Parts: sequence; C-alpha cells; structure tokens
Amino acid sequence: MTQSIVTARRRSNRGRGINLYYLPAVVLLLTFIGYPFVRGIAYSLTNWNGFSPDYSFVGLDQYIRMLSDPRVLTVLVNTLIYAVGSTILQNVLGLLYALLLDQRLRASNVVRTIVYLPIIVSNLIMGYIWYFMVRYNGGALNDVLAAFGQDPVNPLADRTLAVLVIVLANTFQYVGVAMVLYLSGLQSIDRSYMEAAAIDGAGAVRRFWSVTLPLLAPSVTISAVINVIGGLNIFAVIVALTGGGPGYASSSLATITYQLYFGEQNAGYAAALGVLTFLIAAVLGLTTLRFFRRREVEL
Amino acid sequence: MFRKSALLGAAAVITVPLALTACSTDGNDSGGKETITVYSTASEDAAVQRYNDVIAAFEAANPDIRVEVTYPGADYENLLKTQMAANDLPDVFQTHGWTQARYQPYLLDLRGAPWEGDVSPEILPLVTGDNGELLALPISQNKAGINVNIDILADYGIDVPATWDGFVAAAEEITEKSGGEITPIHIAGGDSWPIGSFYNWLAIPALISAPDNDGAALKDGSFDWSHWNFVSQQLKDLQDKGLVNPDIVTAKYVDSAQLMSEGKVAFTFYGQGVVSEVERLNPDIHLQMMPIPSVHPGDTPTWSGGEGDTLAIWKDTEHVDAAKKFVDFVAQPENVKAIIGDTPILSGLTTVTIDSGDAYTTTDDSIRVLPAFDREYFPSGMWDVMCANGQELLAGGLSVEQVTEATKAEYERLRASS
Amino acid sequence: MIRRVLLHVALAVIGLAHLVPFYLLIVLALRRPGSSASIWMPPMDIAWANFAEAWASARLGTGLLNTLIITSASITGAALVGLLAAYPLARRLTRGNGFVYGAIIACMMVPNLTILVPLYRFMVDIQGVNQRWAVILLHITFNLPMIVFLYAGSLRSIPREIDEAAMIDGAGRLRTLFTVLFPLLKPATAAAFVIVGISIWNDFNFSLFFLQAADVKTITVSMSSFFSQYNSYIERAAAGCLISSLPMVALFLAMQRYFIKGLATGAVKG
Repeated sequence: MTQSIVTARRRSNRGRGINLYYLPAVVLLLTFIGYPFVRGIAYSLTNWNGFSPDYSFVGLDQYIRMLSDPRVLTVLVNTLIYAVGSTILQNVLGLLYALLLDQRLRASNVVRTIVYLPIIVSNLIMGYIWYFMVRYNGGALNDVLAAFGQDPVNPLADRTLAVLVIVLANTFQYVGVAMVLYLSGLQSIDRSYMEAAAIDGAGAVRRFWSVTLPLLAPSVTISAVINVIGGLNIFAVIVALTGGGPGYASSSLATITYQLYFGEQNAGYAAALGVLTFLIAAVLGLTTLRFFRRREVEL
Repeated sequence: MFRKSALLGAAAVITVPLALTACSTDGNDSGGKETITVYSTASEDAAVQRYNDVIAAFEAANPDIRVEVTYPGADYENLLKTQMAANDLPDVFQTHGWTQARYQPYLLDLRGAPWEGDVSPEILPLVTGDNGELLALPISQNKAGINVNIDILADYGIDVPATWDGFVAAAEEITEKSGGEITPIHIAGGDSWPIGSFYNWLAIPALISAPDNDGAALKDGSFDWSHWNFVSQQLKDLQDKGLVNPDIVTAKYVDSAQLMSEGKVAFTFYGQGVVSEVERLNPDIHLQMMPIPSVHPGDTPTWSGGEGDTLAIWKDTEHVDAAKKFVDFVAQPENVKAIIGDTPILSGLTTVTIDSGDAYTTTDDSIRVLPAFDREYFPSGMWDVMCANGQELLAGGLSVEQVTEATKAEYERLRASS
Repeated sequence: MIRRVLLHVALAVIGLAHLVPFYLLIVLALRRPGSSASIWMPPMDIAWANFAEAWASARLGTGLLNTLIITSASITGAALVGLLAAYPLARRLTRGNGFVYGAIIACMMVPNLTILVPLYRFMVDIQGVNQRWAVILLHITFNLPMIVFLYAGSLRSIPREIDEAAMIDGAGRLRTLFTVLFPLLKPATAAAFVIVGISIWNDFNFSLFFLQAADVKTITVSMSSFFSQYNSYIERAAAGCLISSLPMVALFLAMQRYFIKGLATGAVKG
C-alpha cells in the first residue's frame, strides 16, 4: 500500500512527461496546417494568379486593395449574419427540439432521426433541394402559391431574402447537431435536481430557467462554438442556391475567396482574404467561447 | 468495463486491416505495364462512352500501355490549376480552349507528329506556341451559334433573323403570338457563366466582325471602351422589354434545360453543349444553331469558333513515348470521328470531315467562323469579370457605364500582370 | 391530458416540416428525367433506372467502399490522437499548455482554400496524391481541434480525484485514461463520432483534390460527376444521394441506442 502511494506520487511529480501525449497531435497540426498556412500567407504578399510559375512580391498591396474593395464590406456582413444568425437560430430551435424530445414520448425516436437526417445528406444536394423549393420557375413554394391563386415569388432575387433563405437552409441542415448536444446535456442532468426544485414549488418555466439552463451551459458553449465555426464555412449551400448572387449580395468570405482564387485568378488577393477570414474566425470563435464560458456553472 | 474494451477491440479489428489495405494502394500497375494518366473534360454519358471506347481500342492495340482516364467534370479547371501550381500534371490532358493563354508553359512540343501537316489552317494559330511549337492535337474546333427551337419559329412563321434588330423583333413577335406562354430568350443568370456567353457572342458582331472593327485595338490596349456599352445595353434592353425570363438574375442552367425540353423557350446562348442535354430530357425537341446576327449595317452573320476538344502532353511527363503514342492514335481519322460522334462541331484535322446533319440552320459555308471572343481579344481572367458585372447589371446594382468602367479596370490589371 | 396532446402535435409539426425536403428528394430520385410535373407530385411511372444508372455511371460501389474505409480509419485515429492530446491539456493547466491548447483550437479557424495549394504541393512531395493514407492523415489532422475541444471540455468536468484514485490503485496514466476516464467521456465520444464522423463522410474538398484516381474516389466526388456545366443529372444525383446516405442512416440508428444508453449511465457523479 505504501509502495503504491509513493509510486503514484512519483508519477504525478513527473508531471511534464504527460505533455508527451499531445506531441502526435501537435506534429500533425504543424505539418498539415501550420506550415501550409504560413506559405499561404506568403502568397498574400504577391500577385500570384494561382498556377503560373511567374509572380512578384507586392508587399501589402493586396491588403490595401482589400480595404478599399466595396465587395468586402458586403461579404463581411453576410459572413457575420451566416455565422451568428445560424448559430442563434440553430441553438434556439435545437434546444426547443431537445426539450420536446426529452419528454420520452414514443414518437421521440422517429422525430429525432428525422431532424438529424439532413446532416447525413451532403450539403450540396440539400442546397439543390432548397433551390428546387424556392426557385421561381416550378419551385415547390410557388406551386403551393399557385394552388391558392397567388403570383409566384422569387426570394433569391431579393438581396436580403436571399441571405435569409441561406440562413434557413443551413439551419435546417444542422439544427440536429445542436439538438443532439442538448439532448445529451439534458440527459446527464441529475433528475434529483429537477425533483428538488419541483418539491420547492418551482413551476416548469422556473425550473427551466433556474435549474436546466445553467446546468446546460457547457453544452451551450460547445454548440455555440461549433455552430459559429460552421456558419463561417458555409459554402455549398450558397453555391447551390444563389452562386453568391445577385452579384455579391449573398456571398460569404468563403465563396468570394473561392471565386477570386479560381475564377478571377487572383490568388494573391484571395490569400489576403484568407488571412482576414482567419482573423475573423479567431475573434468570433474566442468571443463566443469566452461569452458562454463565463456563464457556465461549474458544479 | 466490458463494453468499453469491446468497443476498442472492435475498432482495432475494423481499422487495422482497413488501414493496411489503405496503405497498400498502388499508383502504378504492376505486371510490366506502363501507365499514363489522361484527364478529359467529357461529362455527358455518351461523350464519356466514346472516349472510353477509343481508349479501349488503344489499349488493345498497345498491350504494354495502360491508360488511367479521369473525368473530373465541373471541377476540371480547378483541379488542373492546382496541379499546375504543384507542377504535377497528368501525362495527357485536354486544354479546353486555353492552350496558348494558360497551359502553354507546361506543354510538350509536338512538332514531328505524323498528323502535324493535317492540322486545319483555321485552328493552327490557336495551337501554335509563341516560338512556333505545336502545342496540342486539335481534335475538334467550334462552330457555334445561338440555339434556336426551330419548330417554334416555324409555328409562328418567323424566319431566322440575320441582323440583331431582326433578332429582337423576332423575340417580340414570339411573345405576342404565344400570348406570353413562350419565353423568347432564356438566360440562366443565376449560374453566372451564361451571361458571359451572351457577352462573348454579341461582342463578335458588335466589335469584331465588321470590316472596320476593334480587334486590333483590343489586342494592343487602345480600345475605345465606350463601344462596350452597346453590349451591356442590349442585355439590359432585353430584360426591360420582358424578352428574357423574369427570373434572369436567379435562374440556373438546369432551369433553362428544363424549359427548353418543354418547348417553352425559343432562343438561348449556350452553343452545342446544351443540345445533348435537351435531347436527353425530351428527344422530340428540335434544336438548331443559327449564326450570330450582325449588328453594323453592311455586315454579315458569323459563327463563334475557337478550340473544341484538344489533347496536349505535359512537358515534364515521365512517359513521353507512351503519351505520344496515345495522342497519335487518337489523331487517326476514324478515332477523331469516334470521339466527336454526333456533336455539332467541326473537326480540327483536314483528314476528317464531319457531317453535322441538321445541327445548323444553314449549310452556307461562306459564313465566317471567328475566334471565341474572350480567348482571342481579352487577357486571361476576364471571363469572370464579364459574368459578375453582367449579373450586377441585371440585378440593378450597376449601370451600363459602371459595368464598362469595372470591366476596363480589370482588363488593364490583367493585361499588366500577364 | 392537454399537455400530452399539445406535445404530440408539436412533434408532428416538427417531424412533418423536416420531412418536406426528404419527400422532395425521394420524388426527384424516382421520377423520369425531363418530367415537367410539379415537384410535389409522386411520380406515376417510377423510374427505378435512376438508381441503377447512378450506381453504374458514378461507380458508387467503389465510392462507398472508399468513403467507408477513409471515414472509419480517420474518426478512430482522430479520436485516439485527440483523446491523448486532450488529457494533458485538461489536467496539467500550465501557461505553456494553455498556449498549446489555444494554438490547437486556432487551427480550426484556418480557411481551407488558403492552405490548399501549399498542402497539395507538400502532398506531391511526399507522394501522397491519390493515396488513401494521405487523406486519412489529413482528416485526422483537420478534425483534431474539434475533438480536442470536445474531450478537453468534458475532461475538465471530471474531478481529478477519479484519476488519483485509479493511480493509487496501481494503474499507470495511460491505463487510467483508457479504462477509467474514457468510459466517462461517452457524451463527448458520441458528439465526436456524430459530428466529425459525418463531416468526414461528406467531405468534398480534400477528396476532390487528393483522390482523383478512379479506384480511390470517395462517394462525394463520385457523385459530383452528375453535375457539370452542360449536364445536370438531377434524378441520378437524388438517387445516388439516397443510396449513399443509407449506411450513415443505418449507423446512426444503431449508434443511437448504444449512445443513449451510454449517455444515461455515463452521467458523472462526484
């Protein structure tokens, strides 16, 4: 017995050895992300077109260009709407669904699977399905409107509505993620807390706000951060629905970077936008993380 | 405790052998065969089949060579650009119209090939390098015009228009006589590239085909950009007069094809690519291509030409002889014919004549075939500029003059950097 | 009780609303190409050929196999490396480790396109193009931050006393990690498999650029052949989509029961 205590103490004193465990991860990340990223940043200081072996160093020209490009502002706003808007919608709906499904009705299993299914389907195909729902000519929505004698609508032609449709499509596809995270969070809340609160006379709503929500805080943090990062990366849905249009009205940083790199053959500028994307993602991600962490109740 | 180790055990049992299988993926075939990689832009069923048949015939005739063919479809260009950046191109690949402007530094000089003297004189300049190299095998060259549903014109007694004003008038007549049932012109602005197509084709009669034209000015940078307003203005007018689909800003190519197959569209600007697609959806629709109507008085209609299918060899390939054998095999007349099939297009070799049947509204050979506008007269990279600005024009975001300004700015940037 | 009725109505509304796109997907998969009927109409003459054509022309069999191999190897590898990495980052809270954790999370923010070309060049140099092992390594790497995030977060809420109790009983650190802590991390593992696993299954960008040879194509890339500039084989794409979702759906249904049980018993007690 004494021997094992001594061994255990000795082991925890050699604390630094434990750090070796993250070495494989660090090596992989440096090799496949760190090093290429540094080279990618280097491109932003050139006028490279993406494929030719000739290009020259232009210093900060691409960044200056970025600051004076009117498209960048539109695209930035869109990207933030996609990230934050989707996150809010997905989390509110996801929580709502999780609360409903936690009631353990027999139908819960079926509905849970149905809500989760879109995640399994590729988001490009889902995007196309949404296009077939909202398109002007023969879209599912317009068919329903026609059945009621109404004129057809074209939401994708309106700059604001197009963004909204994309947020909806993305929410629909990924609300299952938030739902599953909240379900697992809900189911690890000890029932005794809920019973104690009920005994103390708290109604259902009160129980939710004072007991459930604070205990769900870790799930909220994880879900929020995941959704924000996901929202920043929306790509296929935008391509399938609007191609980023009309013009650039519904483009995100991801789609415009792609267009600039491959379409307009402006790899240097695209790289500068890539650095911008990284900074925004870092700021947004960190802010979200800090915001929700502060609200977590550590048991 | 039992379940967790079972899970780990199961995971190991599944993963380890799979990973080992994964590790043993072999790039090159064993068995003494040389493998060459071929990339093709073909995507439609029949086109892919035609290529596969020719490749099978080649492998049968050359048992020591294996061909690994890839059809990337929509991502072809992006893939190749990435591979160029890493200097790791396929042994043989199609240059889809960019032989000189983009791929030239990476191509093997093919002078001395058995088919060298058979290259059709119209297309020879397009596959010749800056120093006289022969850059690619031109299997086919384009002869494209505006798609027209010839039955609709016949039903309303309208002749194929020869001038642009006549074209607009024909569109107005169709709207009137069909009571709005038929959309005269369908452009899928939502997909962006159809707008570029419109600009590309109208630019030919507007700027290039008349005796006194802007061709030279575009190439040496002295172009008077006020002439560009005309093309944008025509597009805007079509929209304002209701002669194009009301959802022109958001419609996708899949919508165009759908409506064309239902006989609800008279004219489109897609060239020969759309013919096989509409045929697949509805074999009863009768599509032909009409020459691009003229704009300036005294001018005549034209076709839009340029490279069709072209095959080139990567200059750093490790399989020079096998690659050359393949290209030479494809260059044989019966193989050129086999690859072209029934696509409405011209052959790039004088040894092959293609009978296009009734793919065109006229068989008049005197109608000139002029080069594809943006490839010949614009620096590389202008295509997306035309598309994006045209989209903004249609969405009401830019005026005609602003489109010209933006296009001119990019033209100058791209000219300076190329 | 009114409450039960209302709940059932709410569930029905949610279920139906979320089924609409699937209904449309199935209609598309079953109808003849070129049909001009409304997308709401179930097709009268069912075009079963769509499935056969999708399978053959896109070689979905090969695609499914490749995707299966790559996804299972990647998620297992990522979970392993991620769990190992999360352990010291959650337990040994030094400034250095905090920095490492931050750097790992920061990797989530790096945009894919910016690193695509340098990554491709690097892959060519290590001869990893068209090799499954290379793409597996990529998937492991790119999903590590998420997995480390999930595991570190969950580990932090497990009291250290559990670690120490196990070690006093003679277990080494690794044994503690895998035999004692891992079972308590079931919710995180579930989340990892469910989120990361599916994202790897549906990956397009890496598979597109790094696995182009016919025998190593994944199913997402194979299905992209249905869409090209002039040809949209929508009906085949829908059919192919249904086919390729089946394994994931089956897995989800199977995993669901296991993980729900695990979630319930995995609740941490202090």
